[in-house]
Amino acid sequence: MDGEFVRSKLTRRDFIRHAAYAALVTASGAEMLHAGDAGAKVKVVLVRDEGALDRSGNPNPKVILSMLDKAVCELVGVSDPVEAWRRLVKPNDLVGIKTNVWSYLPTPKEVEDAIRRRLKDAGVRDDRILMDDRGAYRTLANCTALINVRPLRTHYWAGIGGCIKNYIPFVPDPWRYHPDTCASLGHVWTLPSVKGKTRLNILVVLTPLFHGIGPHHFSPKYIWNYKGLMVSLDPVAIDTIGVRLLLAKRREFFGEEKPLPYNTHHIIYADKKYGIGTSDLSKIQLVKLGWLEGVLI
Amino acid sequence: MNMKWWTICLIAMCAAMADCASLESLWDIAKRIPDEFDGWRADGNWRRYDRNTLFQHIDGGAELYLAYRFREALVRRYLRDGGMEIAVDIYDMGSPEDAFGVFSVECYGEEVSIGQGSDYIEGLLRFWKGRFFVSSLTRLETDESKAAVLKLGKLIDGSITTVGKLPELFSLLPKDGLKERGVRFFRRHTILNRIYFIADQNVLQLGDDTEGIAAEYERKDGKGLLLVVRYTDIKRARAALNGFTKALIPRAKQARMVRLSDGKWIAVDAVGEFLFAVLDATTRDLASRLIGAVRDAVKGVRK
Repeated sequence: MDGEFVRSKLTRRDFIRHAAYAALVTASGAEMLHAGDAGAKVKVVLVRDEGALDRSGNPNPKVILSMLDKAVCELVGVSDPVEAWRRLVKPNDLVGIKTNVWSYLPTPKEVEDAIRRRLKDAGVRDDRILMDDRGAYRTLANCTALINVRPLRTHYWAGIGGCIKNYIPFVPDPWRYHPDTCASLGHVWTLPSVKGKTRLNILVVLTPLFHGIGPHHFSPKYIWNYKGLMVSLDPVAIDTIGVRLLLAKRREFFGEEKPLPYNTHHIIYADKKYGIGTSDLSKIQLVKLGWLEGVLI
Repeated sequence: MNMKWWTICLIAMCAAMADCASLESLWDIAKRIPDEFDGWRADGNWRRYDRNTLFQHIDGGAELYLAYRFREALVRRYLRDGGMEIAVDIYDMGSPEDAFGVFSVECYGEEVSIGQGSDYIEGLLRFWKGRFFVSSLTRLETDESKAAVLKLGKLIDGSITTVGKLPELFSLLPKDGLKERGVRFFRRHTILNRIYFIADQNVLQLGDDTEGIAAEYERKDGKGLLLVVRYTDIKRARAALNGFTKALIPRAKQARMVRLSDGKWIAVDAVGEFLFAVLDATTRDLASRLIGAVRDAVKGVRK
């Protein structure tokens, strides 16, 4: 594995240079994302709805479905959500929903249900829709189409838990991808069980987790009701925007620039080394729909 | 020849038996921990994880433990009415140095006098004792749940009967200006990079058989981070010195102390199987004095 993942050296000077670049794009990212011709850019759609969560903080199923519909229609470029899904999957596809079951912040059932409903509306039979997380390398490997869905959060070793990292259960030995703070996660996306199969990436930002202390920590103090969903065809672009959102929230919460304490370079490598998407903010078009109060990005 | 062989075997067997006698297993400790206390009750039995399965318990976070000499862990939850929960993990880290190491890299809270070193912050208690590291978390911190986490921590502390020594490298650290909770022990470069990013590749030739310590200093003549690494042989320490120089101060050539563009100083040297460096020193004086003090200490150890 080591030989497979040999990279060019990233030294402290490079690291500091990259950190300075990240700070720059964080500060001016909004202008960069919306400026100029968006024709050649990768699209990330963010949809938010003030009614996405009820008073107890539980997702509202109807609102969630509506949000997903708006986001997917915008992404695909059609007005009918069922038609949009028909362009993503075919009735004869064996579709795998790669969800996330992390106990503190799992993919909400309401989001999973909304995806399943639209897959069926698009003509995929119920028995051809599979869903799994940690057993994905066994249960989803033979799928012909994948829907990648998980909540956004900080992650102890990888920096963030995003769409790229969500595919690590497609290998039976995930620990092999942990060295160098998960730098090689993008490699999973090049494996036959995954490559070219992802039809949609959904980053759930209903209640993102923006801070943690060590590998064991979780505190509800560090989640907030952002009430959003992000969708994209590009896992790297959507994670890049996810990082920006977490950084923006950390800045707001802590009252100062507060970089993620853990290196998110697996996103850069996913772009530059594995070629599975773009991490260049100037090539990403963020489309924002719905509720804009406190949007942060 | 046969006599000599049998003598060696006998000595080895005696040493192994003595070692076994002094070894307190995780299960020995677990048996001493009550299933109930103050209205909290254990939720099922202890679950065991080893180096191959730990990632199933803490995805990603397992890498922290695998970067040390982690052997196995026992975990379980304690529950109380109202949905309150405490998650407890006890790790056999293989040695006191490694237990201290895994504890030392993530200290952000207050010392609460549990074990040989402890840290409490926002519902999370972490402490080390002997070759064991303990983590205990209540996800919803209240006065009641905090008290329970600390009580459980003390019960576990009392269940661990052995204590351990701090890493020997501590003895090489100058005392003046050493920050009390600013000393961290590491073996692999992935951990060093979390403390201070050197390079993504292992230019310092770190591994499971190396010992490293990073110590923060703050005193009248400046602030800085002192790094001391002990290798298994001189050749490797020399190679690490070259790697360090190329990665951090490539234009320094023969100089062992340079000023960076941000005005901070880096100094590095190697004596025998030891490499030591001062990083991000705010003054030349601090860099020079720290490096000199460690050089003298290392020479003293090697006599």
